[in-house]
Amino acid sequence: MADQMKVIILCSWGATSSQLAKKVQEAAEKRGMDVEAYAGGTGEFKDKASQYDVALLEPQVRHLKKEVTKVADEHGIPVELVDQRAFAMMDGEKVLDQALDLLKK
Amino acid sequence: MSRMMNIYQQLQKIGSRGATAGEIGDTLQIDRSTASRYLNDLVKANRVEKIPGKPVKYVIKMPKRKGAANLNVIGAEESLQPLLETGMAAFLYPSRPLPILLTGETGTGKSYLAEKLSNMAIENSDTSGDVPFIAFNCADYAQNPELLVGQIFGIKQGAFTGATEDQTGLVEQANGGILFLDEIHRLPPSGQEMLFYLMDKGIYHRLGEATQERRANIALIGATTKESETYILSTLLRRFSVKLDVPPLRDRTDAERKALIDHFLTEEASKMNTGLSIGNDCRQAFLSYDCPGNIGQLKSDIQIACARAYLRYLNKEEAKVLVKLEDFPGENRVKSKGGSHTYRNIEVNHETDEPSYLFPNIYQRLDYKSRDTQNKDKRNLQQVVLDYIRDLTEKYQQPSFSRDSWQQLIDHDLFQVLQNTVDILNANLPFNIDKNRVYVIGLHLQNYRNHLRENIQKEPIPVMIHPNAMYRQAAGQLAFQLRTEIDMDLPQEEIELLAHFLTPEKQTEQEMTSEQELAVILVTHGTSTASSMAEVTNYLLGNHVIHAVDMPLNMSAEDTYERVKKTINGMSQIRGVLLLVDIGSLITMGDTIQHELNVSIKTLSSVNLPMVLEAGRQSLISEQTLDGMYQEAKSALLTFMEKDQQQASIQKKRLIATVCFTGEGAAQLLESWLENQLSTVDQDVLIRSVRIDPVTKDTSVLTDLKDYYDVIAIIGTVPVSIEGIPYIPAWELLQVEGISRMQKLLEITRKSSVLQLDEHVSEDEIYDLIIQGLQEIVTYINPKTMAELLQEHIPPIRDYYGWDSNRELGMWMHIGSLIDRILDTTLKNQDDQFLSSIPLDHQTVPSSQEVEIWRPLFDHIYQTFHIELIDDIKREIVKLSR
Repeated sequence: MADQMKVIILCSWGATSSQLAKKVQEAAEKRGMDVEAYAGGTGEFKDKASQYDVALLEPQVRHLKKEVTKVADEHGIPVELVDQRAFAMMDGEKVLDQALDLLKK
Repeated sequence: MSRMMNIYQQLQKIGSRGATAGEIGDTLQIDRSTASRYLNDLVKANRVEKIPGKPVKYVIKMPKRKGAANLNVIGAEESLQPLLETGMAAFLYPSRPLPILLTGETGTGKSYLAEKLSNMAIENSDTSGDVPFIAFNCADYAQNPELLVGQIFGIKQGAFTGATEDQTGLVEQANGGILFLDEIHRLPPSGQEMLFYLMDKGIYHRLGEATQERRANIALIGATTKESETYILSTLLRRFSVKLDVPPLRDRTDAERKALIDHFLTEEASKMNTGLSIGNDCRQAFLSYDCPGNIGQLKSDIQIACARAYLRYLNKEEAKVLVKLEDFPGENRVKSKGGSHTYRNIEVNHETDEPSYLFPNIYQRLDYKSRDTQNKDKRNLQQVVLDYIRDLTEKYQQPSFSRDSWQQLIDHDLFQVLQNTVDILNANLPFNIDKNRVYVIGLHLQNYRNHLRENIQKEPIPVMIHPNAMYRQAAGQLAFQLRTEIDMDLPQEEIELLAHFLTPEKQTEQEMTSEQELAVILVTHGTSTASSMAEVTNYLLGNHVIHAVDMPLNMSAEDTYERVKKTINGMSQIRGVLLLVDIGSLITMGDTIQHELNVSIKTLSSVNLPMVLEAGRQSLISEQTLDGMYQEAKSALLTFMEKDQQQASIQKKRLIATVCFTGEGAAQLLESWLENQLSTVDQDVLIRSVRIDPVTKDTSVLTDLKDYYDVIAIIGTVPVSIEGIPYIPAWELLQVEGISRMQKLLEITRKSSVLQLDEHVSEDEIYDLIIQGLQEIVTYINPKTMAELLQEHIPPIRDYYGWDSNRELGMWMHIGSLIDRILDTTLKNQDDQFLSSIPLDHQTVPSSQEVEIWRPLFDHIYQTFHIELIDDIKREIVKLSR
């Protein structure tokens, strides 16, 4: 992957997502990958969606997936729920894998 | 050894003057603050004391230091001092004792020291309750490795015929205390693996118990002789962080040897009701003779001498018990010098706290006998002493010298040749010759030999040709060995007969019962891994159900493949074969063999003992199908694996390569066709079409793919062979069987890799997962406390809002990390900044019902963390919940 990948992890207002984004960032750095992991709330995503390559949604805002997907589709960004297990364990490696996979699809 | 241990040892060296953290840091080349942290941990653990001042000095806590002398062990201040001190340090190691391995020759006192160290540790332990000390000699069950493992880890009811009830193992009995395993090298590899798993994780299983995980916290002491150390798996050896070498008797000082002799004499004297004296020449003999059995032999030799002397005393030959040179049982007696008949009295110290009556008290036995038989039957008394001496001698014989009754009937040379040959045959043949066969054949040939010797003419036996060439060949080899090694020339009819002897009984009877219609073959890397696992299972199930093929490191995949094929060929009338394998190319081996041999074969990888057991059990069920057996064995694997192991490593993505000469025609057709065939659980599989040049047949693209992907199959119109990747010709794929083969390949690989997605977390998993997750991100709260609190209060809230497991999980994490954040900001006085970062919504109004449903959680949070959530935050939580 030549370009930098920008991942946004979404929760209600960035509380847990900032922690998870940090983990993903660490995982990417460990692998020497050019990845920028961001965190944010679903509310502000509407305005900033175009900046990102891929979006992951945390489980507690699962009910907002439709809304988010609509916004994401407009910008051609793939969206998925963060894998539950990876989320529960705050496993940056796995979440990074998920983002990478999502981008390939 | 860990850093803390290093520091502790360093302080020990320094002694009473103590040292500062800086000094310790300098000596050990670690950071001062690191040293200080460990030192304070040691202080907390009550192992080290602080000497107030500037800078603070640290010193080893004195009572522990006196320990070595307190042990009351001969040599504690001389040749054993370094050993005892390190041993004690390991035991008193803060947090938990380090496992100790004692090495040394037979009889050097390893068990004795283990017990001494344990007593000391128990006395010094903080717990007031009973601390168990369990000692066990693995040699006691050396003939039966399975039972040995069962003794140590316990046996589940029904694990094998005769296991009518659950049996607790020594590990369980020693829980919370100390387990001493003497002759630990006698543990079979499987047992050693179980042991180091226990040392690592504190988890073990009883034999035959696949599902239940048991926990035990034990301090382990192992003992072995230096030569036997090679039988210990290096993985286990490494886990003994402290290795102590017990010196042999010849390396002990003269003073120590004197002290030992006196000690044992005193011990004997205390058992008699009369005084005991020893002649100086005899004592000299004990001091100087070569005593290869070390302290153990010294002790028993002294006991023998005392018993002989006591016998004379009882027979009224002497007025006192006098141990003379003639009583000395050693071989190289020192010639008595004239006039040295001076005797030395043995002082009996009745306060000796050594009630180690390993042997029955011979003197009481003799006393009783002599009272009993008024006519003083000397022969009778003599017999008691002789029996006693024999008991002792046997005890100190090396186990390898012990002969059992079988061997007494068979000439040694004959037995040796048979045993060696059978070992060779077993290593090279696809079938296994039972060890008992050696005795059976041995008895038969011994008989034949005796007849020859005595020139007895016997009826010639008819020539019976064995139907299976393999057994005839083996018999031929055996005959050859006998001829070349011990000049035993067997006539043809005897050789033919041997073939029948070599055949397992079940087959000679031509009784292939339904039990054997499904075969289980275990193939693993390593010299004896497969055979040991098979041995355990076959023993437990009381049936020879698992066929093992070992794959030593130097054996090529092709050879292994041939041996497995041979094994299958050696079985007649089988309906199917379950291959249990560990890793690598073995996983796909079954597919190829299935085609060559026309036998249904299923393969399970990552084999472990519970799987083998389950497969073996299933193979005994007469109406079981290969599929059924496969499923049962597979589930045994999954239940055994720990959840975190299942998802431990990041897996390479799976890929199926399609190949043709153009890379476009057939390959692409296959690609799109395959894509449609993949089930939902295999959506992660990539399909890539690859061109194979018709001239060069270059496969480097495929090899490259292998580096980045888990290439599970190559499918196409050009046969390519890449090691470890099965090739499926396109024509085969279009038949029903072809698909099933591909599907199975998908299935095998799925097990380990698919857990990434689609795997939903169930509600009872949330608690454990969240603890781990919170651990990753929180700073202030205790993840476990938080999880407990949430577990108590979330369920009614979840039910109220009707969350699915996704949202519930999310809310756990959200609340957990939120509380941690609030604590953080409160401590840093950044409340305002924090609040401004939250998009607060003043419009959300919790209903009265919502207030009620949340109240218990909020109250509990207040009690536990002293945080009063402000209304805005509560509103935010409620909003998120809806």
